[in-house]
Amino acid sequence: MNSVCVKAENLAKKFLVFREEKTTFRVLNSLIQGKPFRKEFWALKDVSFEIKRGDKLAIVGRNGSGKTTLLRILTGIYDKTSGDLLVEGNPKALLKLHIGLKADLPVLDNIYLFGAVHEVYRDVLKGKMEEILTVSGLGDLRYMPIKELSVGQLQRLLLSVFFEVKSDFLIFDEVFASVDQEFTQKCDSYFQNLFSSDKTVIMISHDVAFLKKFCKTAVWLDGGVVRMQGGIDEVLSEYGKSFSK
Amino acid sequence: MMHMKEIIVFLRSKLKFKIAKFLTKSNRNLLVELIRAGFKDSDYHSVLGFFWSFLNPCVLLFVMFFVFKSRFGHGIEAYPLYILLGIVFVGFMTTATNYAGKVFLNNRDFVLNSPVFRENLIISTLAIHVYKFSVELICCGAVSALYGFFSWKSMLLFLPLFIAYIAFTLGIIMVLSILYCFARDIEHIWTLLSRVFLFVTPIFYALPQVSPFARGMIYFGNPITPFLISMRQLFIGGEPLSWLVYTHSLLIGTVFFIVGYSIFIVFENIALERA
Repeated sequence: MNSVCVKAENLAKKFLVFREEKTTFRVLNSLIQGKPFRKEFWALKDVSFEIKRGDKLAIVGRNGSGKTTLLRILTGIYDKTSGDLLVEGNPKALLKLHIGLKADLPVLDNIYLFGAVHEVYRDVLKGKMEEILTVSGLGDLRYMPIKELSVGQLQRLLLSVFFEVKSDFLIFDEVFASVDQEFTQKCDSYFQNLFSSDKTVIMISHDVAFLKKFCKTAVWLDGGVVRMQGGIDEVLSEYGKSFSK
Repeated sequence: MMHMKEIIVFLRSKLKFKIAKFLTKSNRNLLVELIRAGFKDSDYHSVLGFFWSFLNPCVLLFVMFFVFKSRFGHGIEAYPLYILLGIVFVGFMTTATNYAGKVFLNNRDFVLNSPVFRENLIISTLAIHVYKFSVELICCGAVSALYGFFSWKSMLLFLPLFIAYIAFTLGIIMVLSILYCFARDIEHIWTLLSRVFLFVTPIFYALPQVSPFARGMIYFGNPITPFLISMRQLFIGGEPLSWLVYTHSLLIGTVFFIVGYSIFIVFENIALERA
């Protein structure tokens, strides 16, 4: 029996959003009249689920359904508003690709920087440098400022660096969209290894085929609440039907 | 009262967690990489690069010396060094706070998509300014030695004062970084205050040259003043070191850091959600 890796019970997250377009006059008016100019917005409500060690879980849902908020709470970026959450271990998350980079600095410096953000050390990266540059097709461009790279080149480079992350618990948030066909093969091989291992993986993606291929269970979030959870095929099938309604 | 107790308990538990996180190998590695990248990035595409840090105080020194020498310079020993120390001290605080205060606004994506130790971003931005400040102070030390004021005792006393001044600046940055997330008006207010600091800090005048009321306001209302007075007593040496002012400076540094960091810990997550 696998031990529990993540356990969420009635998890909720509230944000305060503006009631109307913010102007100095409206803010002052609200302050004078004592009326709040923000209202509550519940991004997550009563979310309960459990992930066992070694599970490969997909989180699906329309845009704005609370998927990224949930991952931010799991990784400790956001505080939960209420509910209970237990996260065992130290999940390594790739919630967005282009973070922590210095646009003016060369590719090499940014590799070390991006690696450090994801806990991959300089000495590890030095040993893998040629492989990373070759895979990302940037062998001759290592001294070029990273701002000169195309979106695709940058995506390949950063994913190649992230593939060096060693962790038993990985989280991905829709970071594989729009990779080219050549690099998709590299990604597939990485995920084949990852999903056949005993590592815990949480994955957000709109690519249903990709999720079906690699994940075993799924949680469907809708408007901040768990609409359904269970086997990947079952959940994705119901999720798919929701679009035709 | 109960509320205060809750805050203290919260701060204590958060602080334990933060210290543990700060000391991890991966965090130290990230801090080193951020500082390294920050240094490389700071003078990127600049022809004069690092020399700009010297040029700014030199131009200000030149202007202030010739404009204020006849009015305020009489009776002040080593007046050029006196002004230079003032410019360097106020310059460091205003520049560092203006840059590092906006660190979360400028790195919004980073802090909202990575569970990194957020203080790293502040420390790495501040590190560049501390380095430039240190070099400027070394230059002040060299000028002081040329005047014949240099002493090892002063240098020993300088170190705690230097650390306290960095802690004081860091405390302000911590609060600013939170406030900037709530209202961009803070940027305008702080820019205005930074200009005001140039005049309400005894950079080109001495406290005895202003009215007793203004003297009290400048000494007790402006936390930079005790630091500057102590530093001048160490670098210029005409006046013996006032232990009261020296201790006052160390106290200001400690209090500003503790209060600033406490505010940061309590509000960091709320602020970042609004960044």
